[in-house]
Amino acid sequence: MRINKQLNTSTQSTSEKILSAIFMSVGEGILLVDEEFEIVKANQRACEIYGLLEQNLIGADIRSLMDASGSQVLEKYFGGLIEGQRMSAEIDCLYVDGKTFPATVTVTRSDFDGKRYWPMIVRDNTDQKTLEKQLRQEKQQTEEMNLTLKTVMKSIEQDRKDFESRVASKIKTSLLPSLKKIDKAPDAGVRKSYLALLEEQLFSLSAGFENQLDAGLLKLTRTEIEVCRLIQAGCSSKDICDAMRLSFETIQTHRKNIRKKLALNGKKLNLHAYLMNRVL
Amino acid sequence: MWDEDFDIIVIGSGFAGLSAALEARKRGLSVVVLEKMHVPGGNSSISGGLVAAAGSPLQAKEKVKDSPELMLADMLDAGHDYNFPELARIVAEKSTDALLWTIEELGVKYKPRLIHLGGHSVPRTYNTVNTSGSGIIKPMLTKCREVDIPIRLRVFVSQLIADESGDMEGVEVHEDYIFPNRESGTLKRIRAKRAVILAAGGFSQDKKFRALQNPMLTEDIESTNHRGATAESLVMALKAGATPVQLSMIQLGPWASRDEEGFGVGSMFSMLAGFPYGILIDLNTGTRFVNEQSDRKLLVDAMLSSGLESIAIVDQKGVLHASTLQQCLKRGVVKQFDTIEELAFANQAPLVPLLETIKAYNSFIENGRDDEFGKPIPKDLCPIKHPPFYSIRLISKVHHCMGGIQINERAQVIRIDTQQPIGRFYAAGEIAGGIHGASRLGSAAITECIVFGRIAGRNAAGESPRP
Repeated sequence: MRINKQLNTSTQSTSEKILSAIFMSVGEGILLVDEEFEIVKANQRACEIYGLLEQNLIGADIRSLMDASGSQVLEKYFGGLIEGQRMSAEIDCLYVDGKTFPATVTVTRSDFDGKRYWPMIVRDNTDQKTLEKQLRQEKQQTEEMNLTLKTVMKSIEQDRKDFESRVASKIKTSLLPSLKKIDKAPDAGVRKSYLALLEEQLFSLSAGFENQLDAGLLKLTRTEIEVCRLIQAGCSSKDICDAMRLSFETIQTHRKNIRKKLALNGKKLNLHAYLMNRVL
Repeated sequence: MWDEDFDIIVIGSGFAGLSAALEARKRGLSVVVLEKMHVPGGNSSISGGLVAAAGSPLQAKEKVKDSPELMLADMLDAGHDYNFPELARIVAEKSTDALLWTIEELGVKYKPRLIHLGGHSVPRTYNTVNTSGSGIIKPMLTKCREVDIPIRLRVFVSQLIADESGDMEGVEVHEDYIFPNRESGTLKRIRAKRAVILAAGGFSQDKKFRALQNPMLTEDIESTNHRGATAESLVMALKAGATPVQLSMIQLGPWASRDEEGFGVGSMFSMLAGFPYGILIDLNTGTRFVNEQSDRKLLVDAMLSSGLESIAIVDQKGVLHASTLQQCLKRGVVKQFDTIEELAFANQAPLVPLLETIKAYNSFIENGRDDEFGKPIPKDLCPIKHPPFYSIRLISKVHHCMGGIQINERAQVIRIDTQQPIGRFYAAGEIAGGIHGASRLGSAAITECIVFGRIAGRNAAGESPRP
């Protein structure tokens, strides 16, 4: 087997080679399309964008690489562009496996050798679109969060108003009339029973507070409260004697009375523990 | 140690690789396809899209009597009996099965008529409607997308990694590889829990390697292949212990055009019209020199034997079979003439012998027998007399590597020292050697890629998973 030499047609000049090297390595897809919508030249990036070898891109109808509406846009450009004019549009293109992807195509017109050609620059917008989508999602999430916060604030405000109006109406409808009745009461017995009622009403007003008023604590005398505070602070009876300049026996009596008023008699609970979480 | 893992790793995204990947994925396994180039499909996507099948529906419709035995006989004839017959037999027997798979599973569209290619006893070749392998590759890629098979582009496999027992366990790759820079990309190791399938194609564009196998294939001989058809995967497999077979069996295509690069649009013009419905002329003598419907090797040998420059000529009737005619005319690959005189003048062919040759050829057709070279004369073959006339200037280009690594009937790669299969290692497609012998019968390659690709995919999927 003998093999004849190939006719070598590498007569490219250096400038042509440089131009061709630039064309092939440019980071955007470049296609040259002729009057029959046929691709006559394509660079490597264009091959990558469409997933086709140069051999398959060349000769292909440019419209086979995009969806119907993209083709329409292109046909309009091809029909309408005058030489040198440039137009661009966002269209959906087709990858070799049939997947569509968003792309920006920029079309110009260039006439040579008595024919019209349309150089096209194609940019794959998939990454950009993904970023844009992410950004939109994040923005939406922030807006939703804002809305939720606003709603929460509103309901807190409403609760406060409700509470205020409840207290105001209680004062108006129950407390003030009770005071008037006390003022006008003929004897101590009646006054006492009105006072008891008033006390009841004040407690009920405090219902639902975080630190509900403790009926027992309210019964304590000033001295007893003083003793309680010292117990709360962790003082022993001896310490309290010193602090209040009272005898040990007096303090013990106070303690006994306090337990009685707080209804702790007979319970296995020491005063310190009981007082720990209470406001005096 | 490993950066990620899959059940099956497929190397190469042509017919064989994608067929294997789809078969394995069908069994519910995780599959990845690694492709070193920037686009998928490789050589398959620029081939002519010709698929041979024995006993096909179109043969039934056209009342062509065929059988796997006859197809096998044609393959062995073309291959000068260098073929591994048990492998070639599988291709012939499963040919219609493979064809139907492309139609039914992938939705590939074929032309409604069979083609009678050179070297085949009967018409048995289907052709995609777009006269290109992309007509099969695109549906394959679409299917891969639908069933979630990732096709990783620009991932070059630099090393096959075996476990302690010698079974294949994974690959070392360069991600973001820039062909052909071997230093480019980031190193990564991918584990195959079940198997590795090598479907990396041939080496027709690897001028150094092919000259090493056949010194007559010098650098100035062009190839029909895409530029990624190089030998590094083959060398890698040999390093991993695979058995090389018939590496010097490298086929040249006789039908390519002198006026364009690569496979181009001219090759299919010659195959579909020039050779079956026209004549092949030696430009120096103006005469025929071979049966135009011979297999590729005979044609190339005849074309090269005298160092002749040749053209193919068809008339208006014959050109009807050439589906790439418009593109050929547009690119100046095929030229059109109103008279044979003009055609002879433009091609610098001696007119008188040419006219005589055509006259003789036409009389052969009318008599139903080619007394000179024995070209078969089918019913639809017409004399060359209806203008306009068309010519294409031909040159042989390196087209296919019949040699490669040895596989068995299950597509397992055979180890060179033990002659036993390498565990969890399969190969299919052009990188697998020995199926076509000394010369591959036209349109048998796609069939073979799909048949053995699917076998490799199925058997790889049947491997037990590694813990």
